[in-house]
Amino acid sequence: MANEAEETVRKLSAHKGVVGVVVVNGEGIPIKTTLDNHVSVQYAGLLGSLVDKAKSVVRDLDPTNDLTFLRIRSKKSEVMVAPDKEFILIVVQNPVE
Amino acid sequence: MSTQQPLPRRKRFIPKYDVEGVHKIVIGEETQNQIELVIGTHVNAQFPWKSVNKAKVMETIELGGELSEFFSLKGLLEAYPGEEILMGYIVDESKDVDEFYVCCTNEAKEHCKQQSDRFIRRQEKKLEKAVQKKPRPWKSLGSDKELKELIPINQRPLMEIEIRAKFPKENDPKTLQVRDTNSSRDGYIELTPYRQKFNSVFSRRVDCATQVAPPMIHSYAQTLLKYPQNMWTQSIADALGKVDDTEAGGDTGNDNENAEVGANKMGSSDEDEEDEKEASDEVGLLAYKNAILRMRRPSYIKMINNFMESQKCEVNSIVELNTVMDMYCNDYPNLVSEQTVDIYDTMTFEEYVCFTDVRAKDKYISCAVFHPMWSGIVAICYADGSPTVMKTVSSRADPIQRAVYGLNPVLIWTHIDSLLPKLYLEAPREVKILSFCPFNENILIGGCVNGQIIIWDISNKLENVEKIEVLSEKREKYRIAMKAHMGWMKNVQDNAVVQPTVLSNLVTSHYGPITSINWLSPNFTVTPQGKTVLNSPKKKSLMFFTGSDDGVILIWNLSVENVTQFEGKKVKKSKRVLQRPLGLLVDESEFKVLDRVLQPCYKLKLGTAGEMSTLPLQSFAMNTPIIKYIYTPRNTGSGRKYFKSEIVRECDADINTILYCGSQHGELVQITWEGHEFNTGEVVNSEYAEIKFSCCIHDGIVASSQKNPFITNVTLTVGGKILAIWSDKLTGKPLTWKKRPYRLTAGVWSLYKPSLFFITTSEGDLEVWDLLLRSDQPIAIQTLSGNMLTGISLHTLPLAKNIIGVSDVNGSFRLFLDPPIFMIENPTYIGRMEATIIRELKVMQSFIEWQDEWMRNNPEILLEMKRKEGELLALKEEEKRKQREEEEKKLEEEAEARRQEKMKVVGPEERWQKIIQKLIERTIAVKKRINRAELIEHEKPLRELEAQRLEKERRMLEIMKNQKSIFNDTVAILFPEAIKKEEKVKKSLLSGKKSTLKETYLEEYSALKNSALSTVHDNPFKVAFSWEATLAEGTERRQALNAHEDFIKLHKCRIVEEGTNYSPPAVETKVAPVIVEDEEIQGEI
Repeated sequence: MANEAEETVRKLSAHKGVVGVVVVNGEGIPIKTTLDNHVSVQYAGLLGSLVDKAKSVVRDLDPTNDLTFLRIRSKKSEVMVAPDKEFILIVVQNPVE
Repeated sequence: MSTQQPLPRRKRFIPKYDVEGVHKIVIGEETQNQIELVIGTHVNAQFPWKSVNKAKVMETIELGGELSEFFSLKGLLEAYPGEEILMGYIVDESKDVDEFYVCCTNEAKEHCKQQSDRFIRRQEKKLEKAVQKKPRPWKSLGSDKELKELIPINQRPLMEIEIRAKFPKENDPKTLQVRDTNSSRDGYIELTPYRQKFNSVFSRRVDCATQVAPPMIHSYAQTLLKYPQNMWTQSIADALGKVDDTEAGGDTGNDNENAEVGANKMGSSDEDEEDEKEASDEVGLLAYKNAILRMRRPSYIKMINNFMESQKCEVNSIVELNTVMDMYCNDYPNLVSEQTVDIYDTMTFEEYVCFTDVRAKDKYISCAVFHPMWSGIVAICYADGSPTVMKTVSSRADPIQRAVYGLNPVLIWTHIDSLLPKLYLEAPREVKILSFCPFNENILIGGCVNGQIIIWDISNKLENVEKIEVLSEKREKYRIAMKAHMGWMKNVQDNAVVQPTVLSNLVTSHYGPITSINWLSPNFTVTPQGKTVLNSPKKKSLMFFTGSDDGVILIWNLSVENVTQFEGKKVKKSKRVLQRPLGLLVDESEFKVLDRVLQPCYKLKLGTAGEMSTLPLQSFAMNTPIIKYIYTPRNTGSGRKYFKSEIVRECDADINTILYCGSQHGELVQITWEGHEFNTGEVVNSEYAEIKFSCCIHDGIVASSQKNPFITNVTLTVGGKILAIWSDKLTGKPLTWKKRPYRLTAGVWSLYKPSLFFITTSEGDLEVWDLLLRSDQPIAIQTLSGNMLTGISLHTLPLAKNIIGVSDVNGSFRLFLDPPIFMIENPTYIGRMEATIIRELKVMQSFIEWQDEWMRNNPEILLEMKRKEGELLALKEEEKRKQREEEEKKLEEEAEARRQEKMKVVGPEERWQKIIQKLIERTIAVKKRINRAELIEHEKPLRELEAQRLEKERRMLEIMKNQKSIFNDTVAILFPEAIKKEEKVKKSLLSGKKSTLKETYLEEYSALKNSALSTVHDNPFKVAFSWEATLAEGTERRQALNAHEDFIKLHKCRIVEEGTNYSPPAVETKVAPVIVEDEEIQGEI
C-alpha cells in the first residue's frame, strides 16, 4: 500500500484509545486494517451497508445534501466512519475514562 | 376609815348622831358581854350599830345598880317604849374606854338608823370605787407622739382592688409551644414496660398477588463470528488473511518509485498464486484478489492517498479530541459522586517524629517555623486559639488572669529529641507568629497578641544546653556534696530558658495581634520615607514586615546602626547595679540596645483615607529573599548540619512592592505603596496603601498566602474551602481557583518544583497539588490525622532527605519524611510552569475580552438582565413588605384584642352588671332554698338509672346480634336428632364382592405371615443383661436410700468417741495448776 496512506493509518492508530483503523474499498473489502481479519471483515461488511443506508437517508431528505461523516457512539466505544465515493475509513476508539 | 380615802370632789360625810335622845356612855367589857355588844364580835367599825334587848340592859341596871354604866339613863330607858334599844359604837382610838351611843327615843333611833345606813352605803360605795377604778381622761406626758407615729393614718381615700386568682388552672386551655426537648432535663421520658401484658399477635399468611418482573441484566454474549455472508464479502476471512499476509509481505518491500514495475511483477506473482488458489475454488477470494490487484495500480494508490489526505484532518481532530476528553460523557452523575484520588506508594509521607509538650496542653500551634540554617530545628509557638479552628467556648477565661498567670510557651525542638524541647523561650504575652531571619541564624522574631514584636537572640543558647560539662572526679564529688548541703536552693539558672532580647516599643507597635511576618530581601532597604532602595553591594539590611489584625503593615529595621536614631530615648541605667557580673555579659546580644525602643520605620495602612474600616489582615504574601545555603560542617557533636547563607545579589528590577493581603473575612487585596518624598512629621511615617484590586473569592479566613518561590508573580492563597492561584498580570480575579468539599487550613509551595504545593485540610488530610499534572484535583491525598490539621511548614534546607512538618489541632507537631518523588528538581519545570501560567493567563484574558466585547455588543441583553434582576428584587421586596405588613397587622390586632380585653375587665359598668347578676342568682337560690351540692346529690339516682338503662340496651343489642347462633345452639340442645340428620352417612369402602376381597386378603395374609415370622426369626429380641451391673445398680440405689444412715452412724461414732474422751481433758486441767505451783515453789526456792 501507499506509504502516505499507511503513515496516516499508523498515526491514527497511535492515538490514545484507538482500537483499530480500517480502510474499506468501494466493494466492501478491507484493503488496509490494523485489526484482525475477522473483525475487520465484519466491520467492513456491516458498516458498509450502514453507510449506504445513512447516505440514502441524508440524500432522500435533501437531494442536494450528502453524508460526510458518521459517528456511532456506543457504551464501550465509538466508531467513526468517514465515507467517500471510493473508500470508507473506519476508526474504532474507546473513549477516555 | 373615811379619812384614809380623801375625796377631793365630794364633801366628807360625817354622820351626825348627836341629836336629841341620843346619849353617850362608856361601857366596860363585862357589860358588853352581858348585853351581847362586844366590840369586834357583835359590832365593829363598819357596822357600829346594833339593837340590844331592853330587858338585858334593864337587867344590868338592876344588877349593877348605881355602878351600872346605864344607871344614868335608867329613867330614859324605862321610858323607852320599844323592846330593842339601838346602840352604836363610837370609833375613837384616842380614848382608852369604849364609848357607845344609846338611842333613848324612837325619833333618835330612827335618825341614827338612817344616818348609819347612809354611812354604810357611802362606805360601801367608796370601797367599790376604790376596787373598781374608773378610767380617767388621758393626760399627755409626751409619749403620744411616738405612739402616733406607729398608727397608720390614711393619707388618701382607700382604693378598692379586686383580685382575680386563676383557679383552677388545670382546665385552662393551654397554648402549645415548641420546646427543645434535648436541652431540658425533662424533655422526654422513656416508657419502660412494667407489668404489662402483651397480647401475642400471630402472624398470618396473607396471600397477595405481586407483579414479578425479571430484573434487567446487562450481559454480554459472544456471538459466533460468522464469516461474512452478504454481498460485499463472499469470502472466507481466514483465506483472506493468508492472502493478505503473503501479499503484504511482498508488498512492504517495494518502493513507491518502482510501483509500476512492482505491479507488473506482482501481477505475475499474483497470477501464479491465482493458479494455485483457483484450486481452492473460492469465489469470494476472487473479488478480494482483484481489489488487491487494483491497489497496486498507481492511479488507485493516488486515489487512496487523496482519500486519506482529505479525511486525515477531520478524523485526526476528532480522534484527538476523543483522546483528550469524552464529549458525550454524562457529567451529572459525576458531579455528585466524589472521586477518590488514587495515591501511589511513592507519594506517601512517612511519619518521622512528633512533638508534644505538657505546657501546651489545650493550646493550638499558632506557628511553627524550621530554622533556615540549622537542620532539624523547629521553633513552635502555642496559642489559645487558631484562626482556622472554630471552637465554642462556654466561659471566657478572665483575660487578666490569663495575662498574668497563663503560660505563653515558645519552644525550640530538635528532630533528635521528641520528648523534651531544647529551649524554652520566654514571652510576656501569647506569641501568635514566629519567623527566623533567613540570613541571620541567631534571630528569631515573634509577634505577640498585643501587637508587640519580640526578638530572641539564640546565639550559643543551643550549644549551652547541649554542652556536656566535663568535670574531674574530685570536682564532681565536691559538687555533689555541695548540692547535698544546699537542698533548700532552687536552681534558677536554667540554660534551657531564654529571655527575650528585644521587645518593641508598645506605643508605636501594632494595636492588634500580629498575624504574619515576612522578611525583606537584604539587598533592599525601605527608607523611613517608605521608598524601597537597592543597597550598595557591601551593605546588608535587616528588615521585616509585620501584618496585624488592626489592618496595618509595619516595616521594621533591625540594623544596629539604626540605634543612633533612638539615641535620644536612652533607657536610664540603674544606679544601684553599676556593672553587671561578668558572667551575665558573656552572651549579651548586640540587639539588646533595641529593647523597648524598637519602633517601625514605616507604616502601611490597609484601607482608604478618611474611612474607619480597615482590612483585618490575616496573612500577606511578598517576595521572599533569595538566599543560597551552603553546607559548612561544624564539629559540635550534635549531629546537626549547619549551613551558611549567601545572599544572591539582586538589581533594581527585582524591587517588588506588590503585596497580596488576605483578610479574616476572606477578602484578598493586592496592594502596593509608593512612599513619600518627605517626612510626614509623624513618629512613624505612614501611608494608605494603594489597593490595586480587591476580590472576595474566599469563603473563610485567608489562612495563608505565599508567593511562589520560583516564579514570584504567582501567588497561592488558601482560605475557607477555596484555594486560589493569582498572577500579578491578571487583576481582579484569580488565575484559577478550586473549591474543596472541606475547609482548608494552610497551604505552602514546594521548594523543589514550582508547580507543586501542599494543602492541609480540616479533615486531617494533606493534599498535594501539581498544577502541571492536573489542576482540577490534587494528585495525592493522604490522611495524616483523625483530627483537623492547622498548619504546615517545610524544612527549607537542601538536604537529600527532607522533612515536612504538620501541626494538628491537638497541639502536636508531626514531622513527616518528604517522599523523594516530590523532591525532584528540574530546571525545565520552571519553563513549563511559566508556559502553563501564560496559557492560563491568555485563556482568562481572552475570555474577559470576549465577555467585554459581547457585553458591549449586546447592551440590550444586559439591560434586560438588569431589568429582570430588578424586577425580581422588586418582587422580593414587595413580598417582604407584604409579609412585614401582615405581621404588623397581626401584631396590631393582637394588641388591640388585648386592649379590648383589658377594657372589658376594667369597665365598671360590666363589672357592676356581673356583680348584680351573681347577686340575683344567689338571692334566687337562697329564696328557693336551692343548694347546688344537694341538687347533685339528688340527681345521682336518676343518673344511675339512666346508665343502667343504657347498659341494658347495649346488652340487648349484643344478644340481638348473636340471635342466629343462639337459635342454632338451642336447636342443637333441644333437638339433637334434627342436626344429626344433616350429618353425612358413612360410606362403606367395601365393595360388593366380598368373597374376592377375602381371597385376596387371605393370600396377602399368608405372605405377610411368612415375612413377619422370618423377620422375627432373623432379628430375635435380645436384652443385654449382666448380673454385675444389676448388683452394682442395686447397691447404689441402696446407698442412695441409706444416705442419712451414714449420718446416724457418724453421730453414733462421735458419741462413742466423746464418751471415751471426756475424762482425759478433766485430768489435764487438774494437773496443770499443780505444775504451776511446783514451778512457783521452785522459783521461791
